[in-house]
Amino acid sequence: MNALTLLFERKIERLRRLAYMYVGYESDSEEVSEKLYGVYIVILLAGAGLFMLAWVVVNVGKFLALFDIPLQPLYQLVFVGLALWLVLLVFRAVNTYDLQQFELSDLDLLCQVPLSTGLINLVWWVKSLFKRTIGAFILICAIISSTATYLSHGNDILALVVGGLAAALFIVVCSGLRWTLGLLRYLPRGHLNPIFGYGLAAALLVLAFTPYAQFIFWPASLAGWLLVGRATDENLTLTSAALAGMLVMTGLGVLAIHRLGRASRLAPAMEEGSLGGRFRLAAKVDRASASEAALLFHLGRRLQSGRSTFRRRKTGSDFWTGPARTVVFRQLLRLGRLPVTKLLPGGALAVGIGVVSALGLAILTYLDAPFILQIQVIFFASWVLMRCGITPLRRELAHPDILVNWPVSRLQMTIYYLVIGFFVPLVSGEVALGLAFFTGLDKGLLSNWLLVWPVLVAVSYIIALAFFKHGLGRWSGNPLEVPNAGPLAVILCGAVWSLSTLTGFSTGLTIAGTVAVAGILYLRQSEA
Amino acid sequence: MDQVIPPPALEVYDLTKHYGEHAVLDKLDLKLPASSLVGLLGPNGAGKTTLLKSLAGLVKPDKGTIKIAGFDLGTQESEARRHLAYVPDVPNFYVELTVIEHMELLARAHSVMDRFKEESERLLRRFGLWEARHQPSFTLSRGMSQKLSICCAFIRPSKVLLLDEPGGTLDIKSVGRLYEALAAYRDSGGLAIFSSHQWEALQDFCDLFVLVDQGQTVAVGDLEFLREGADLPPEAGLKEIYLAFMDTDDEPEESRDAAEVEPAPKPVRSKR
Repeated sequence: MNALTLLFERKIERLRRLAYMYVGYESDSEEVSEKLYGVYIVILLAGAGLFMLAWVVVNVGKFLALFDIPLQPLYQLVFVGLALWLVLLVFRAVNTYDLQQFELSDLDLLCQVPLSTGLINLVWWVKSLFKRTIGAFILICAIISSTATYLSHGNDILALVVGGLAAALFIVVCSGLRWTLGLLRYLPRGHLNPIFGYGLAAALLVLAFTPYAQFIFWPASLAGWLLVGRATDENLTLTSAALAGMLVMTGLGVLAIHRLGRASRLAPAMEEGSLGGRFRLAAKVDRASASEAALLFHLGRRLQSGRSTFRRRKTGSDFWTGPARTVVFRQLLRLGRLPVTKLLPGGALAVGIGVVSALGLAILTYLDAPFILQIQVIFFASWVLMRCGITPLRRELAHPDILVNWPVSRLQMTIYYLVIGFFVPLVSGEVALGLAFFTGLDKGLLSNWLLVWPVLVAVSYIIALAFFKHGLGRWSGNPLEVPNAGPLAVILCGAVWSLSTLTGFSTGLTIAGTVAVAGILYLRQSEA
Repeated sequence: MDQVIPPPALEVYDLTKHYGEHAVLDKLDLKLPASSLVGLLGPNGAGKTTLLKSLAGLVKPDKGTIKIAGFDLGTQESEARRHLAYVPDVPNFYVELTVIEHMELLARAHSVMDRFKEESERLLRRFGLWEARHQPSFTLSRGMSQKLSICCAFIRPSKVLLLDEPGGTLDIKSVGRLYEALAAYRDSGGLAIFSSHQWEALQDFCDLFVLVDQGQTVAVGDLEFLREGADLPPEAGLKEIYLAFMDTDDEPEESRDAAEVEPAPKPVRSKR
C-alpha cells in the first residue's frame, strides 16, 4: 500500500504545482505579500467558485422550469437515455483497449512494486471515476432532478442532493460493469469473442425499446426514478430502497473488479498502457502532437490485432519530386493511412469550415443581420479557419529533425504547409458560393462574395505566415513546443475580416487586399 | 602553427547561444575542410549537441554566422540545407510511414529518384534494415531507428553531414558499417562531423578533432597536431590528448594534491 500512497502523493503534488503555476503563486516564497496573495487566491477561487456554482444550479433550474416540461415523458426520456448508455457501454467494453489508462510513470512504478493485480485494477478503477466529464454529468443530473421537483412543488434542494447522488452511483455502476466486461480481455484464457459482445449489444439495443426494458435495464430504472420519477412521489422509503439498490450494485461491481482483476494478467494491460500513455502525454502537451499520437495509438492497435494497414506500395511516378510536390505526396501518403473514422470527420470539418463560413457570412450580409451578431460570427469563422489552416504545419513541425533534411528554408516549408491547410476551406467556400447561385440568394451579393472569400482566406494565410515566421525564428526545434499562431493572430484576423466584411464590398475588398499586400511586402522585406 | 587546408565546407564565426544567463555557445569560431571526418569531443554539457543543432538550423543562435558549403544558413537557408544532412541522437519519425517511405520522401524532396531503388536497397542491406523496409517506423527499436536515420541521411546528396552520437545505440557490426559509409562519404568529398564519447573509434577513424568545452572550441586539428599542442609524447592517444586539454578541476583540491596530478596545460587554440 505504501507504493500506492506514494503514487497518489506524487500525483497530488503534481496537481498542486500545476495549480500554483496557473495562479502564479510562489509556494516557496517566505514573503508576507506572497502569503497574502495565496489567501486571496483561495478566497477568490474557492469562495467565489462555490457561490457561482450554487447560483448556476438554482437559476438554471428555475429557468428550465419556465418551459413547463411534463414529468412523465421526461422520466421516459431520461430512462431511455440511461438504458442506451448501458447498451453503449456493453459495446465499448467489448471493444476496450487500454482499459486502465496507465500513465507512463505508472508503468515504471508498477513493474517494480509487489502489489496484487486485483488491487491495482481496483485502485485504477476508482481513479478512472475522477474526471471532469463525470463531474459535469453529475451536476447536470442534479439540476434535472431539482428542476423536476421544483415543477411538482417538492423539496428541490433535497432533490438536488438525491439527483447528484443517483447520477454518481449510476456512473459508478456503469463504470463497474464496463470494467468487469473489459477485464475479461486480460484473462489468461477464455475471453469472449468480440462478435458475441457486439451481438449482445445489438440484442440489448432492441430490448431497450420493449415493454420489459424497465426490468432488464434496472440500474437505469432506479437512476431514472431517483432523478425524475421521484418528483411526483417523494416517498422516503422508496428513495432509500432505490439508493440502497444502487449501493448494492456498486458493491457487486467492486467485488467483480477485484476478483477478475486478480485473475487477469497485467502485462498486456501495461503494453497497451505504454502506447496509450504516450498518446495521453502528447495530448496534454500539445494538440498538434496529440493528433500524431492518436494516429500512433490507432495504428499500434491495428498492428497488435493483426489488422495492419501497411500494404507494400510500389514506388510511384516521378511526378512527385521536388520539395513542393513531395509535400503534397507526403499528405497523400498520410491520408492513405488514416482510419476512416478520422479521415471522414477531418475532411468534413475542413470542407464544412469553408462552406459554413463563406456561405454563412454571405447570408448574414444578405439578411442584414445585427452588427453584434455579425461580429461574433466573423470572429468565430476566422478563428476556425485559422485553426484549420495551421494544423498540417504544426503537425509537421513535430518532426523537426526530418524537416532539417529537406532542401528548403523554414519559411518555404511554412508556405507549403499553410497552402495545404487553407486550400480545402478556400475551395469548398468558393464551390458553396457558386452553388448558391442556384438558390434564391441575391446573385450580385454572391458574385461579390466569390471575390471577397479568397481575399479573406489570403488575409488569414498571410497573418498566419507572419506569425509562424516570427515563431520559427525563435523556435529551438523542440517537437513538444511547436510554434503557434496565438490569440494575437486570431484577434488581428478577426479585426481585418470585420472591417472588410462590414464596410461594404469595394471598401472591404480594398482593406483586405491592402492588408494582404502589406503582409506580403513585410514578409519579403524581413526575408531579405 | 598553421597547416595548409582546402577551402572550408563549414565555417562558423562568433557563434553565441545563451539559455538564460548561461552561455552554451560562447563566440565559437570553427572552419572545417571538405573531404574529412571530424570527431566532436567534449565533456557533458560542453555544448556539443547545441553546436550540432545550431549547425543543423534547429537552434537559432543569438549571434554568429554559419556557412554550409559557402552558403549562409541565416540568409541562404534553402541553398545551405540542400547541402546539409543531419542525424539526430533520438530520431522522431512519422508514425504512419514505413522505413522505405521515409527514405523515399527525402529522395523525392531532393529530386534523386532516378537512382533511388538501387541506392535504397544498398543502404538498407548495408545497415540490416532490408527485411524491415515495409515496417512502420514506430515498430522499430532505438537502434533500428538510428539506422534508418543514417540511411535517410545517405539517400540524398549532401556536402556536410552532422551526426549526434550516431553509434550510441548501434550494434558492433552496424558501427563498423557506419564508419565504412562515412569513409566513402569522405572520399566523395563530404565533411562528416559527429559527436561521440567513444574515443577509441574516433581515434581510429577521424581525420580531425574538435575539442569543445564551455561553449568554445578548445582545440582543432589532427591527432599529431593536437599531441604537439598538448606537449605529449608520440605514443599518447586521443584519450590522453583529451584529458590534457580539458580543464578537469571538478575534484576537491585536497584529493588532487593527494593524487599528485600534473596541472592541465593551458588550452591551445589551433588549426590543422
